[in-house]
Amino acid sequence: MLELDGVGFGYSPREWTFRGVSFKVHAGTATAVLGPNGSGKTTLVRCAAGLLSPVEGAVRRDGDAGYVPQAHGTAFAYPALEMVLMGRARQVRFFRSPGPADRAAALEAMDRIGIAELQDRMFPTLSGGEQQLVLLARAIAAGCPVLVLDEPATGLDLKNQARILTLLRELCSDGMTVLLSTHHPDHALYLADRVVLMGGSGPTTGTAEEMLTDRELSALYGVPVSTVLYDDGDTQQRTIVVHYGGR
Amino acid sequence: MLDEAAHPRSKKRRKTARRSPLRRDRRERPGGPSIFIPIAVSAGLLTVVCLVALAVGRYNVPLWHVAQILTAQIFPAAPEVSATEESVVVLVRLPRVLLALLVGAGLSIGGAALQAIFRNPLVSPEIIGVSSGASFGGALALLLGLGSLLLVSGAFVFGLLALVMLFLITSGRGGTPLLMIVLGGVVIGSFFSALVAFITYIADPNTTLPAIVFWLLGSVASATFAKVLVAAIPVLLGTIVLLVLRWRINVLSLGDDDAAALGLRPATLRWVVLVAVALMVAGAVAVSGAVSWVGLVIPHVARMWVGPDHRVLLPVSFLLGGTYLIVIDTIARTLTAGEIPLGVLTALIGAPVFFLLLRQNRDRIWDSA
Amino acid sequence: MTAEIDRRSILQVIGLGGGVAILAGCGAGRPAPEQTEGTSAGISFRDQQGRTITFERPVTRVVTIPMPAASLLVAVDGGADHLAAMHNASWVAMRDGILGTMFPQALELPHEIATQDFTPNVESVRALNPDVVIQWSDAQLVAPLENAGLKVIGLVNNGKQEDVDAWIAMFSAMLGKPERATEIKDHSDRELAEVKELAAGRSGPGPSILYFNRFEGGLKAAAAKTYNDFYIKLIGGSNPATGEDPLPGTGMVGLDVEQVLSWDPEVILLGNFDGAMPQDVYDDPVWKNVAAVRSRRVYKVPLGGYRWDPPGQESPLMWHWLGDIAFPQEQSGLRGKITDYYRMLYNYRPINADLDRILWTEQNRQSADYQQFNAG
Repeated sequence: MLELDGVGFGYSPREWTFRGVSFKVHAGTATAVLGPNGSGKTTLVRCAAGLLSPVEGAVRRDGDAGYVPQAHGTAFAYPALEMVLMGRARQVRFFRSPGPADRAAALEAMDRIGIAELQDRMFPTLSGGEQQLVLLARAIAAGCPVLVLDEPATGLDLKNQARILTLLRELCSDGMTVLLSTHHPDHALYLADRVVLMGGSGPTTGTAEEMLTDRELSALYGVPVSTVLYDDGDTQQRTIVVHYGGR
Repeated sequence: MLDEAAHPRSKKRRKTARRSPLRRDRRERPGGPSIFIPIAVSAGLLTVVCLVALAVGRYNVPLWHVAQILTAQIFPAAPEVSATEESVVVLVRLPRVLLALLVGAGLSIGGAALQAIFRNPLVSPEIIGVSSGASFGGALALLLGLGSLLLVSGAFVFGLLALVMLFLITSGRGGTPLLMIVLGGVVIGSFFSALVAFITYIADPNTTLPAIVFWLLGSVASATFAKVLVAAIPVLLGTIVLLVLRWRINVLSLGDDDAAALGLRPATLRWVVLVAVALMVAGAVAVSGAVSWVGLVIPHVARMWVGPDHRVLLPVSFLLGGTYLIVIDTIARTLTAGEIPLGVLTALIGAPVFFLLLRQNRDRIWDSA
Repeated sequence: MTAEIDRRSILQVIGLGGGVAILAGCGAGRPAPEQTEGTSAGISFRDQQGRTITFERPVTRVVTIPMPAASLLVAVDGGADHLAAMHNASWVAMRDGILGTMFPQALELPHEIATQDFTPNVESVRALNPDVVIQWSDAQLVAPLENAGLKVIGLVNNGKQEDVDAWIAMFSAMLGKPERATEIKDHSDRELAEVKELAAGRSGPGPSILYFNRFEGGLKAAAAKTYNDFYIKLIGGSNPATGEDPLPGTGMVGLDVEQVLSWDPEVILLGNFDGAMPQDVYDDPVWKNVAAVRSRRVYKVPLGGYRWDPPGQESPLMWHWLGDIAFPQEQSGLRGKITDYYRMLYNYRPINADLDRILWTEQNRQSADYQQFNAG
């Protein structure tokens, strides 16, 4: 469970990035944060993960949040397995190093994402997508009940996007609380029960059905957007189409 | 690709790993051979260098006599050596070797830890201003003509004062950005350097000034067992703290955000590391003046050899740093009948070595720093 | 800062009479300044660099910046009346030494006129309105004073007796007392001849003598081309630092204890550039097997109107002292010589307490044969 109650944040006084964000993510469900660049998505998920203290309002979680940042460079080249092992920092006693149990958990997390073969590769030599997957494995290895992801699909090719979405859905059905920011409304459509839109007139929250409409999305991004139905085997699915070049 | 060069075995391992990703766990456990081999090798190197350093010097003591004297220190026996030979080995060389070991080891492991927490392989203990603070404390003690105990205390007090100033400069709402610590260190360093310059300005050019200049140049020439003890306490204390935190320093080296996301408190942890390093630097400066370059070059060399994992890097830096300074100091006291200042040699050797390292690893350093 | 220290330490070595070869080029074979009495009314002489210095009348207000210059001027003048200001280091030495006892009024003089590296505060010096400023001959140190319209005499120092002779000659000329230079030189020459004669009359080699310029915090000994090396050999001793296994370079050179143990000198001299005393050496277990320590022949060099280690007006007394240290007497005649010399130099009669202070009698009491210098 993850709950934000009237959360507001600004980097300087009286200059709010956002105010009055309230929503609750139940265990076993996912919530997506959508919004154009610079709308404060990352700030919001960082508040939710506990990396930033909100200026007003409160964040409640039933346990620590595993946080997956956007892939970034590191000063020192650690092997991928070491990076994932660092997810075990909460479990490793203060003056110890990770033990066999931590190693097993890390390898299991990598295996689950399907990147076990990357374990000896140096993290900086991985592609952006692979780095993203390693960071996800790290958050899973941490074993937290809440998972917060900052644009987890950014930089991934279609196959890896599908992989990560499927995986997040699995994690939800295992009872994980998932909050993610994303630039892909269709990902939100696939994954999220609830959606937070970081629009120009302040954040709004609602169910995926309420929020992911042509009108809301077109207003949010300032380009014409349509939702369309398509047949996926024997079920009907919705996806989102952008009318490039305007109408 | 440069990382592969630094870790030549990774390619082979990857092949095995592809076949059986999970089996590797059983073959190579954490704390297994990959960690202990470099540590054992550098410890062996240090031992050899220590013995060689004890055996050579301007006063000729036959190797067999050196062995007898050293054995007699542990197993009481009457060695058939002259009293001078014994005092040369036990009272002159031994404290000097131990002091060089402690100073080199402390500065190196301190440098390695600082490079980790500042996530920059070009950081050295001078950067947080503690060296300058300690230098000022020591110079002040020399100016006032205080004894060697107060010289050490002065270096301690002002080294730690520099750290407190760093706290004050950087403390504020919302944690301490890395840049502020670096800038604070520069400010404090300049401030104390100016104070040191002021002391050399007001010092008596006949008596105290030469002493201050000599001390600032860096030397372990006046080593005694008392000084060894004075250096040993802070250096070993700081080393223990860093070794306890060795894996957490890995996590911290990813950056504050990641460390916080992984459940650590990066600001607290960083200050613990900083205090430990300050303690070691103050101890080293107090007994040897400002010996530069060691804390920058040695961790770098160690990282090229064993990689950035601080579980290996920290102990290896400690051992290699000690080895390096013993070698340099042995050169300083044996090369000519005169004594070459240690700080001059470390800079003369350190700067070109570092230049070559920088050239060879240009790409990697710019990629990552 | 480093550059500053470097320059300062270089100047120091020069200033301390360390015999640095840096200025050897301009120092070698330099003629002693001679009085050129071409003009009837004025004073004219050549300085050490061959420049002609002229004064219309004898100087009455002299500012001295090099450390030994103040005490030398007082000695040449036989008093402190014409000293207008001095370097702080000279002043401190005066305050703490016998010179302050002899000339208490000199302690009232201004002494905040230059930094520790002898850079003058030009305005302070100008305000004193001196007839002449005595400065080291370094262009950087001299030019600012000359630009301010001051007359400057630049002293050259290679740590040799000839330099001091040249300084004395210049000082006596500008003070209008050329006979003083002759008097002091005559005394000095007489003592030199006597010391040489004594040395020649001795049979067998003298002891090996090592002079420590610095002892505390790091050792520095007198190597080649030092005044200390000169007088060690003058009295018939040998300097291990310039012997078979010599120290590299010239001047005061840093060295390791082991090197000293390897030389095993028979006599150790502790200089006046730090506070080390014979007891410190006797107490240190590292030194206990050195010949000089075993035979208790570690001595603190005396400190008179100026240090006896570098060349100065009292150097002849140093030669005699060292001769008696190397070849001990039943009763040394040094006290009488000091009394005579001080009457000649300073017109002052030292009491026994003064002599004890000059000779470090208390601090050298534990050392062999030092009772030869005790009062009658």
